[in-house]
Order: sequence, then C-alpha cells, then structure tokens
Amino acid sequence: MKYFKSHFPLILIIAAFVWSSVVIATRRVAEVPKDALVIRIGHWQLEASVRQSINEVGKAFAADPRMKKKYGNRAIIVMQDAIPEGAYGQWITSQMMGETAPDLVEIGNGLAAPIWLAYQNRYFVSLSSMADEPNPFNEGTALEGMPLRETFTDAMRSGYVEELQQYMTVPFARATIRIFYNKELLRTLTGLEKPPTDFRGFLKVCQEISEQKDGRGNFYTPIASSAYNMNMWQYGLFDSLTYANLRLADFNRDGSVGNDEFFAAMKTGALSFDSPAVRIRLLVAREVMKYFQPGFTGLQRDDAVFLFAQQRAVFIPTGTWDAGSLVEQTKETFNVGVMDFPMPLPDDPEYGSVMLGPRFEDTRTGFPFGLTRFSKHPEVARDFLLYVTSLKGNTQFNSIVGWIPSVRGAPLPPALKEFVPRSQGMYGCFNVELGGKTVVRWRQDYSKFQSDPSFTFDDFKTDFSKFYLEHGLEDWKEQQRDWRRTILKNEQQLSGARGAAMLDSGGEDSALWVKYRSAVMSRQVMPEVSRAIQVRLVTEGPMRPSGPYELLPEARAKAAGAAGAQRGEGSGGAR
Amino acid sequence: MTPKIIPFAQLKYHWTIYFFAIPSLALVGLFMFYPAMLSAFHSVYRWNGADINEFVGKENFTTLLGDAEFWRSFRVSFIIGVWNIFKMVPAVAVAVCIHRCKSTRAQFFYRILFVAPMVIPPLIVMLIWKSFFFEATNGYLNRFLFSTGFFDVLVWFDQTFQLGGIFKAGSKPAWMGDGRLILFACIFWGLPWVGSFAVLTHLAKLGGIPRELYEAADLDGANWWTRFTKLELPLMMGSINLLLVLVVIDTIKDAGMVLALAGIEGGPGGVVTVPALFMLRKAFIEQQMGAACAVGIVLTAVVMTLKKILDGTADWQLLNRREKSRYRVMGMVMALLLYAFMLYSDGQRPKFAVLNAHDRAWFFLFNAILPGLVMVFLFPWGWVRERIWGPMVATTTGVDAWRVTLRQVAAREAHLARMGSAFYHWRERVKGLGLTFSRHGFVLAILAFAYLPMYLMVIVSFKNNAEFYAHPATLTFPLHWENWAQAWDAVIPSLANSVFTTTASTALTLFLALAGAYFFARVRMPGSSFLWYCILFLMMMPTIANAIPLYRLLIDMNLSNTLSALIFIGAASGQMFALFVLRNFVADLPQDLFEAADIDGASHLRQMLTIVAPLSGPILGVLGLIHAVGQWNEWIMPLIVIRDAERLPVTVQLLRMSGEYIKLWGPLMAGYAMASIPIILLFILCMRLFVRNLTEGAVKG
Repeated sequence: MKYFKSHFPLILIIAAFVWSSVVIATRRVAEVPKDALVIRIGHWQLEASVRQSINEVGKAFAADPRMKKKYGNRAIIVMQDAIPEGAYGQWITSQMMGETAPDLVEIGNGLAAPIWLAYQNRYFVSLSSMADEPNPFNEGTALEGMPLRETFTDAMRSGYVEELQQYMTVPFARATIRIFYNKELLRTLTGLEKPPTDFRGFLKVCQEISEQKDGRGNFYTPIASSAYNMNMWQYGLFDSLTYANLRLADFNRDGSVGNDEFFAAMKTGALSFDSPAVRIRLLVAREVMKYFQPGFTGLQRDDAVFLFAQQRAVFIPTGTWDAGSLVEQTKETFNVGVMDFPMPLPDDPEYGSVMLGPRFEDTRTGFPFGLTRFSKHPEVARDFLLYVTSLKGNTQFNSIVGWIPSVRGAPLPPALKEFVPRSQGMYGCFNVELGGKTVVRWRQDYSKFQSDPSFTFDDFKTDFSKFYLEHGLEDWKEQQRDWRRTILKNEQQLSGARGAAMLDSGGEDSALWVKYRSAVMSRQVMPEVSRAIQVRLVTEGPMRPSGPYELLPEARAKAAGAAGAQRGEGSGGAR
Repeated sequence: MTPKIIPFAQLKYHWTIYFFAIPSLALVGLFMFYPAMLSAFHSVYRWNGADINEFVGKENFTTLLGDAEFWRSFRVSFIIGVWNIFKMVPAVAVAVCIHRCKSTRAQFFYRILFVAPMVIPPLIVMLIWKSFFFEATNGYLNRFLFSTGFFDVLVWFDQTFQLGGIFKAGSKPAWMGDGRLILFACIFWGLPWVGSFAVLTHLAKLGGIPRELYEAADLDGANWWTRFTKLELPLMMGSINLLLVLVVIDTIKDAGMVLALAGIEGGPGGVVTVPALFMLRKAFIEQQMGAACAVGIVLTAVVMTLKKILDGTADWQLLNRREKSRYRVMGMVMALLLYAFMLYSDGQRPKFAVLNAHDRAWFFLFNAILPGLVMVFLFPWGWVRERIWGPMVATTTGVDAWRVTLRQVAAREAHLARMGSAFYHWRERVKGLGLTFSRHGFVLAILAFAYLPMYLMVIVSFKNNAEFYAHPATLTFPLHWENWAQAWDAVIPSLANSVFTTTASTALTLFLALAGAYFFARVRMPGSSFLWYCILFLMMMPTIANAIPLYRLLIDMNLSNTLSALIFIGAASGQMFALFVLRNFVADLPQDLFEAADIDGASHLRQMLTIVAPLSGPILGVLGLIHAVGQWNEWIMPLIVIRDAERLPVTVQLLRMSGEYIKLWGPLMAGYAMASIPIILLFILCMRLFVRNLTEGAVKG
C-alpha cells in the first residue's frame, strides 16, 4: 500500500499513457477505404459555415451519378485542412516545400502577392485548358455547352494570372465590402436615421460621435477598426482615389497597374508620392483614421468586432463574409445597418480633383482555389472544382455559407441584396507591394503613418520613397528572374500545342495552328515586349516624358500630317 | 567530480561507454544537427527552400551586415535584454520572502501556488494581456492610469521632457498600436514577471543555505537587507547565473513573444523587430531561406560569445588575476564597440543637436549611460582600492584596516548589549510582525497577478459573447455550461494524442539524456569535448531557419503526419536542455561513490544503474515536468507536421477554434481550461514530489 501511495503519480502517468495508446491504436483515421479517392482542400476560412458547406458539397459531389459512372465504386472523400489565417503563410510554405500540399489550395492570404505569384508559377497547375471547356455538371441548365470561364459573373477574370498568362484558380464565391453601423447608437448620438453618403458629411458625423461620452464617461469611438479592417478602407475607399494613375503607369495597356508597372512609373518619375492621386490617397486615409480607436494597427478583426458589439463604436467596415456572424452577434442588443463607403464629392476643394466617377467595386470573384502539382488525384480534384462551380454546386455552396455566388444565374441569398457590387467607376491603381523587402517596409512605415501623428505625410514620403527606389530594384529583379523561370513551363506547353497541330489528321490542323500562334503571341511575344519596355524604363529611364496613354507631340503632329495627307488624297484635287 | 580522462591509447578498454551517448547523439544529430548543418550550408546560397538554389558565396552575409535594420534589431534586443535582466528581480524577491517564512507549511503552500500558473498555455497569457490589459479604449492598464490620475503625471512628463506627445490629455495611449509605446508593452507584459521555474530554482538554492549562517548573522545584528545582500544573494548567484544565461540566449534567439504581441512586421515602423523576428521575416515573408540561414549563423555566433562572457563573469571568483584582467579588457572593448555601434547603427552618426527631444532622451539613455555603466562595472575597483586608495589613505590619515576591524568589533559588542533590554525585544517584535505582514502581502499580491490569466480564463468560459462584451471580467449568470460541453467535443478526441506524444517524448528525453549525461560528466574521451560543444552550439542556434530542412527530413523518413514525428522532434529538442542540466548534476555527485564502485569492479552500466539513476530521481522529476509542460503547449511543429484532424494535439485543435473570425470566447476559454486540466492534475498529484525535489537541490545551477 505504501509503495502504491508513493508511486501513485507514476502509476497514473503510465495508466494515462496506456489509455492514450489504446485509443490511438484502435482508432481508425477518418475511416478511409484503401482504394478511396481522397481530395484534400486547404483554406483559412475557419467559420463553421464554410467548413460545413465544403463538407456538404463534398458529399453531394461524391454522390453525383457522373462521378459514379466515371470512377466506378471507388469512394470519393473530400477532406479539409482549415488553417488559422495567422499561421497560413508558414503552413503553406512548409507544405509546398515539403511537397505535401493539399490537392486544392486557397490562394491569397498569408503571403505577399509576389510570393503567391512565384508559388503559383512553381507549385500549381495551369487550369487554362479547363477554362476553355464546358462544365459537364452544367448539363441540362442554361449554362450547358458554355466554356467554363464564361459561366462566371466575371468571365473568370480573377482566375487569370497576367504574369503567367494562364488561368490558375477557380473562384467559388464573390465578395463585396460595406460599412456596417449601429442604427440605435447613430440615432442616439447624432439624431440621424442614416449616415451621410459623402465623405465630408461622414467625417462631420464621426466628429460629432467622437465628442460624446458613454455612461462610464468614456468617449465613443466613431469607427471600430483593426489592422484587418484597415484593408477594407483601402479597397473600399482609399485605393479608388488613385484611378488617375492608370494613364501614367499602365505601360502594357491592360487596364490595370501592376506592382512592377507602379515601380517602373516611380523609378522613371512618371509617378511619385507627390502625384495628386497618391498624395490624396494617403491624406484621405489619415483623415479617416483620426476616428478609429487608438492603437487599431495592433489589433485583430475580432478586437474591432468586440468594440462594435460592446456598442462603443458606431461603424465597422467589413465584407459579405462577416455579415451573417455580425448580425448574429448583435441581434439581441441592436440593429445593424449597411452603407456604402462615403466618397469625396467632385467639387471637394481638396480631394475633388481625383474624383473621376463613382467607386467601382471589384466584380471579380473570390474564394479562389488552385490545383497543386502535388495532387495525387488531379483528375478528381478538377472534377471537384467543376462541380462546385456548376450552377447546382455553386448555389448549394453559397446558400449554406451565405455568400454571393460566383456563377451566373445562381440565386443570390436575400440577405445580401445590399452587397450587390457596382460594376462601373474608378478602381485602384496603387500597387507598392513589389516583393519581400518592400512589402515589409511598406507595412512598417504605413502602420507608423497610421498610428503616429508626429510621423507626417512628408516624413512618410521621404522615408518610404527613398527605401522603395533603392531596395525595390532588388525585388523587381527577383520578379524578373521569376518571370524568366516561367519560360520553361511556357515552352513545354507551347511545344505540346505545336505538336498537336503538327500531328493532327482530323482536319483541325489549321485551327490548331492558329491557336498555337495565338498562344505564342500572348504568352511569349507580347509579354517579352512588355518586359523589354519595362526593363528599359527601369534601367535607362523614361523613353518619353508623358504616360503611356499620352501621345508625344511628334506623334500627334505625324498623325495630324497623315490625316491631312489622307484628306488630301481623298479630295483628289489638291495636286 | 573531475571527469576521468581516457586517452586514445586506452580507448580499446573503454570504448563501450560510447554506447551511453550514441542514442542521445543519434537523435540530436538526426533531428537537430542535420537540419542545422543543412541550414548552415544553405547560408551561402540564394535558396528559397525549394527549387531555387543558386550559389552566392558570402553575398548573404555581406548584405546582412550592411543592413541597417538588422543592426537596429540588435538594439531592440539589447533594450529588451536589459529589461529582462531587471525582470529577474521579482522572482528573487519572492523566493527570499517564501524562504524566510518560518512555517514550513506556509512555504510548501506558496510553492504549490507558484507552480500552478505554469500550466496556463503561454498563448492564453499573451491573448489576455493583449485583449484585457493593453487594449486602448477600455483596457485595464489605461483604466488604472486614468482612475488613479497617474496619466496626468505621464502627460506632465511628456510635456516637460518633450517626448513628442506620446501622452496627451484626453487621448488614451495605444500600447500595442503606437510605435512609441509598443516597445514598452513588449517589456511590460507578463507583470509581475515571476516565472514559476525561476522562483523554485531560487528556492532550491536558498534551501541549501545552512541554518548556522543565519544564526551567525542574527548574532552580528544583521538586518533583513544585510542578510539578503551579504548572505542570501551571494549564495543564490548560481541559480541567478543559470537563469541569466537562459534569459540572454532567449532574448537573442527567440522571437515568439514579439511575434505574438506585435506581429511579424514588428509593430508600427518595425520598431520592435528583434534579430530572430528579422530572420523569420527573411524566411517566410521574403522567402529568402538562404539569407535567413545566414542570420541564424550570425545569431549563433553572437549568442556563443555572450555565453562565453557570462560564463567568465559567473566564475569570477575562480578566475586568476590574469584571466580577470583579460575579461575586463574584453568587456571594456565590447562596451566601446557597443557605444560605437549605438552611434553608427543607423548608418550615419546622429547629430545630437538636430535630434528631437524624444530621440535625445533615447540617445542619452542607450548611447551614453548604459555603456558608461558597463564601463563603471568593469573597472577594476578592487585593484584601485587595494593598491592606490588604501595606501594613500593610510599614509595621509594613519588609519589602517586593523583599526576599522576594531571599530566593527566594538559595534557588535554594543549590539549584543542592547539585545538584553525589554525595549529592544518589543521593538524587534513589532519590526518582525511588520516584516512578516509585508512579506506575505508582497507574495500574495504577486500571486494575485500570476493567477489573473487563469481567473479570466475560467470566468470567460462561462459566458456567451454578449455577456463577454458587456462584462468581460466578472462572473455573470446564468453560467453557460454548454460552453464546456462544446469544448469537450472539440478537445477530447485530440486529448489522447497530446497525452501520448507528451508522455512518450518525455520518457524518451529523460532516458536518453541521463545516459548521455553520464557519458559527458564521468569521462573525457577522445571526441567528447567536440560532441559537447556541438550540443552547446545547437542550444544557442535559433531554430526557425531549420524548420524547412527538418520538415523535408521528416518527409524523407516517412514521418510526416505521424505522432512519431512529434515524439522524436520533442525528444531531440528537449534532449539538449536535459543534457545541459543533467551533465552538471551527474558531475556534482560525490566522487567517492564512483571510486568505490570502480574498486568493486562495477561496470559503467552497473554504476549508471546503481548510483546515477537512483540519485537522479529528483532532477528527472523536475526535468520531466518542465519538458512535459513544454511539449503539451507546443503548437508550431504539430501545425506544420500533422495534417489529419484525428492526429492533431489539443493545442492545435484549440488554435483552430481561436482562429475563427468572430471568436466564441466562452467555448474557446473552456477548451483552454479543459486542456490545462491534465497538466494541473499531474501537478497536484506530483506536487509534493516535485516541490521537494526541486528544493532539495535538483537544479544545481
């Protein structure tokens, strides 16, 4: 007995170990049959509704008769790796480098955009051929026979990677962002039923709110924010004000300003932090940030929600994905209203000069998944992507999760009517995140700019632009190296296309040759020309004093001369 | 115990002793050394961790050494390190207070209470500090400052010393969001900075002080302060030095705390970027694994140099005059280098005249005062007193040391005479009571702070979100037991995984480390010093850059997504600390025991089984518990290695719960509380054993 008493802890530890060993030894991991086709899908959406909707859609996919026909009696299992957002970058890095990444991976968070681009180039499979083919799961619907890309509301534009000239991802949903507000608190503090829709009016209301105290004697915070919610303001308001940069920096004339183009524009002096659009973007940000709670840069999204739910803040900007949870969290205490981002008016004395129209909302689809080259069952993974983006699958997925469907004709959940995106107007042309070094410095300086009033716009401009121009070159060169690394992959694909054209005996050889030449043009020749222009811009300076959309005076004169000559020829009587 | 030296010629008679170290070294070599060497190899490559691997020679190092941000990160590390050393003081104070409790029951009770907070996962403590204390609008720190009026003092301070408006009337300071305050937050968090391990280690040392010394001090009329400075502090220096070494190593090579508090960018303007965080960014944001490996190599060199200096100062009394002079010169040169580094670390010499008031204050503090203090500390005062001041005073005043001693004797006699009076007894009693109350009051106040995270964890676990938003820190009714039911469903399936990996890894660690420690402590064989330095090298090396090679190794060994991987990695990483401590312990065992065993013809195995193993029970218990708690709370490796939900340990399971965008605080906290229960149970059951062992000299320092 004495022995037992003195050794009781040890006995207990051994007992616990034996128990755990028995549990582990007798447990069957996920009951996966040996011949099952397992598709793993990695993402950072930890909301229960997302996990549930993927599970439900996965089951429906496995039970689909088409799958039964294609894969016989082999079980199809869709498993999820739902990883917290904060650890997603490290997780995906180790999975990719260890070549153990899931079959399908959500792309966009955790790593800087240039790094994702490099990853897509190295570790993901092109989905271009899939985008050209009809979705078999749409048979019997209005989308039958339509190429996959045309079945999306944005024609799958979000899945197309300009730098790689390939379709790399398939989007499951669409998302927009709005400002949510506490209706009762707004009424109590300002007497307003709805907040003003213009920027100055909105700031005035914020000022009014910030001067009032709650029952405990604390001042109200007009806008609940965090490092995460700050991004909403950027996408929703600040970046839209930089649309004027398009004419100065869109060197390849694709309608957007990439990070490399932005760097080239800064390097050549076409743009600077004193350019009106850039300057106004940062000054407007500073105006709004005055009304955030102190220290928001060090907070996370749930901290902002905490403040809003405690009724200590009136506004909070966030997206469709949070709408359901936010309303659920606050339904017992107050009513939530939804408003669009307040834009400066065109006649605004300070900011009106950059107001070239209303705010465009990215109609592009989101929640994008790419197929990794480590997939053990790439065919099944492709089928799963097709199933989720079919009319039926997409409706089912988004009705459970409560998001806006990405597929044309899929019904919109009624609660999301306020979130329908606006498809015309100004969009962002401000892209400073060039690569690792500049991304880190931008985030550091920008958060300092947000949190430290003594760090003025001029301080910020001097500090960041110096670093950007000096060290951005290294990031830019790394991007160029990455681009060179894609050439091999392109060559392989083009060789395949050429081989198909050469060997075709079914009468489609001419069509295949056209396709091949077109691909050579779009994937090799034109990008090479664009790159060459950019390299020359960055290394040798500007070739022309004005932006890419502006004609040189000589060109104008030449064009005018040619037009005159044409008119002369046309009249026929001048000679 | 002096290790037995076995020359190469006698190796054929003793080669079997290598078998004691081989399992331990094989484990460390495979899971620690191989990735570390691979990482060192890649430090001369432009390596992205995968397909890009271009030789660049010394480019990574030259770029790194020319990077102003890298040097700035050392400045941050230096500031945090200095504060970390100051933060060791409360643990010493608490240990002394507990040690001076007359009741052994009270001492035991306090020890138990100080051990319990050890089990709270660090993630929770950090979360609570961020969300409850540092939150700007309604956090406890700001509430305290405003309610006590102390904030007005800070505003006055700001205005008087022109700190640039950090504290402005009517504006709440943003501790985590303001670049000028975030460093303070990184230093301040975790108040009262009383780690259980530190307190118990100090208590172990204090427990070894003979009672006679205290009686002699009483007779000499030593007051509480003199007893501390002249008796307890010198005898605690062993444990203080041990903790100092660990603090310095952690400050340089660890980024976990700053990462959790300030994020990977190191806060606004990157102001709290420490070297290890800089390396983490290189690896995972910039994808420059080769450059990150180069940072790792530089950091290892820095840590090893610091360790060498600390060892020198720790053994100060044992050094001869020449060695002392060498260390002094080395220290003064380093102080001068530090001074120069402070001046030039921003790439240009700061012009004092053009600095603003805020920078001027920093300039003075870190560019002049601290290096000055280092110089003062290192100056050979003893030599000056003995050789210059003493003779000078003797020749001018005629008073010599003998006279002074006589004066001291007279004072002692007067004190003894006073002790006989009734007034003296009455005064001493009142003073004693006052000291007792203040001692208990101090310890209880520290305990209250230490238990605050645990209290909040339990309180919040009974709330729904609406109640949490309205009253985050007080109990609300009805209690939401359903949170615990929800947490039960989430936690229980993964509990078996955690129990299995923790116990297996702990057992493996202790078993292999004890055998390895015997090898390193008992004999000095050809190659043993080299192997020992390899282990020390690994202890000093930041492990972040090794993560990718290690992960690839696990895949090659077909261990990815298995619990075995967690056991092996846990045992390998725990092995180094265990070897470090156990080697000292075995070396301190009486030499006579081994000599007697040698005479009796006992083999090494017999000596190991009959002498070392039975005597190592206490320290194995302590190391086992420390390792088990660390392994239980580990989440980074499991997150990377384990894929299947069924195999996840409980911490990762909880992390996934906390990662939800709108946290369900009740179930989350219930989950954390539930995950802490097995370890708390283990502590309660092993408490007597653990506390006794730790205080009976398990940690030798």
